[in-house]
Amino acid sequence: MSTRWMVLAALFAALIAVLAQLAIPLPGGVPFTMQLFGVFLTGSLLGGRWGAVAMLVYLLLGAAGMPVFSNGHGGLGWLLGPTGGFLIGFLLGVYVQGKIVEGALKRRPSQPASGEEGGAARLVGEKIPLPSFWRFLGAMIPCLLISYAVGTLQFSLVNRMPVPVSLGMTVLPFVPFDAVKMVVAAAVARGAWAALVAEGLLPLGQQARS
Amino acid sequence: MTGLSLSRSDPRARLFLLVAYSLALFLANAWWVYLGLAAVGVWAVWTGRESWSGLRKIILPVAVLAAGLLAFHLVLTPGRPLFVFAGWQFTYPGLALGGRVALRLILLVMVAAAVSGTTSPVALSQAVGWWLKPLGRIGLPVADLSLMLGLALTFIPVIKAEADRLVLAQRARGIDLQGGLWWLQPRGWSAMLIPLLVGTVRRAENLALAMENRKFRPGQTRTERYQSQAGISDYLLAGAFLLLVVLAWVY
Repeated sequence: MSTRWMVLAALFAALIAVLAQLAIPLPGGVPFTMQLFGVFLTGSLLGGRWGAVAMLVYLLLGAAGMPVFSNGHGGLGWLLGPTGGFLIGFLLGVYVQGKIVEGALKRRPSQPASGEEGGAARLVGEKIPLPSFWRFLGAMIPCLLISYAVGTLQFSLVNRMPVPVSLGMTVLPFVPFDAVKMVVAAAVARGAWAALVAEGLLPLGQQARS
Repeated sequence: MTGLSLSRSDPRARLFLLVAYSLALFLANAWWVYLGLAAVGVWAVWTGRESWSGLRKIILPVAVLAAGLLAFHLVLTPGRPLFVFAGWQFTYPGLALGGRVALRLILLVMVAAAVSGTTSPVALSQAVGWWLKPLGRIGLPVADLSLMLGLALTFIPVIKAEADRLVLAQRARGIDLQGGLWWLQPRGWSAMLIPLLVGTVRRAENLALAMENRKFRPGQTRTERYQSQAGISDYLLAGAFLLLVVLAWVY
């Protein structure tokens, strides 16, 4: 535990909460909330352990009844309700995602950043690795799949429906939208990583784990 | 019975009510238990002084999902037919099962809205911290967790203010985030996210520094400025809701 990590985890929990309230209306009435964005950014920028802590803080806020889930929902009942499993799944999902992103840091700890990748690192003149776009994107896929699995299972159990039906009701219609969000989130995560490291604001990039 | 009102109960008791009510809803099976739970839900909204118009905004999107679930069970549950419409057979067991599933969803959302509408963020994070205390024995850093809950709650308006500032700055430079083609909108939003992240993380960094300079160290138990007192009515309410859970469990 360090104060810096604690404050950052709280910040990202709040960020997910704010992004979950932002809904971009698409034609046809499909809700496009930015909640997934917040979750993906948390795993990308905080790493496994602290990303999961941020997610836990977010879920606790929601469970206690604060309207932090998408469209102003909250309460333990919502978490245990039909669609709550997708949120619970993110707890493990973000951990896995963050661990994969951290893998980029561990594999080549002392290798200098290369020309294309080290744009931000060059600014501070340090050897700070910047994970590739594909690393960020690839880390998000298992995160989303875990959420789908837990979410579908809970939807089936709560509504007493067969798994294929709930898969068709809750997952399949949203896969293309989630895929788009994932690509945009990976690009944003990489840009944010570079910008934060350049200002010395990202503990993960500085290998200052405690 | 004027003492038994949601808005005047202790936040810790209110949190317990929400948890107990959610549990009871998931355990309930008999129709009269459901009726009782619905009555309690109306009581919570009534004494929580939640406005019905605000409630409608929360319930309407859920009502669509609830209607879908009801229709699914009506058609696909085998049993004694209720009526036949255009080749689809609607059954009595389907109505019973679908009705329960749909009612449960709506009641859940209703009571959660009543509880969050009556509780301030600070009181809520303190109440969660209080209930989590026993988990501290098995090594969970409860004090730090409840501090993070409070910090996250205070960050929410900070992030909103920062986002508003950025929107104004972008608009002053001629970028319209609201209008335009809908498939280009995510690009505009993502262009906002990076400065938003940098700005808020910088604030978080300053806060962490300020906390450490004021001798904050992780893992300490902190004292509270405002301490709530649980009264007899809180124990009565908690007991009543516990009874509800037991009833739902048995029947």
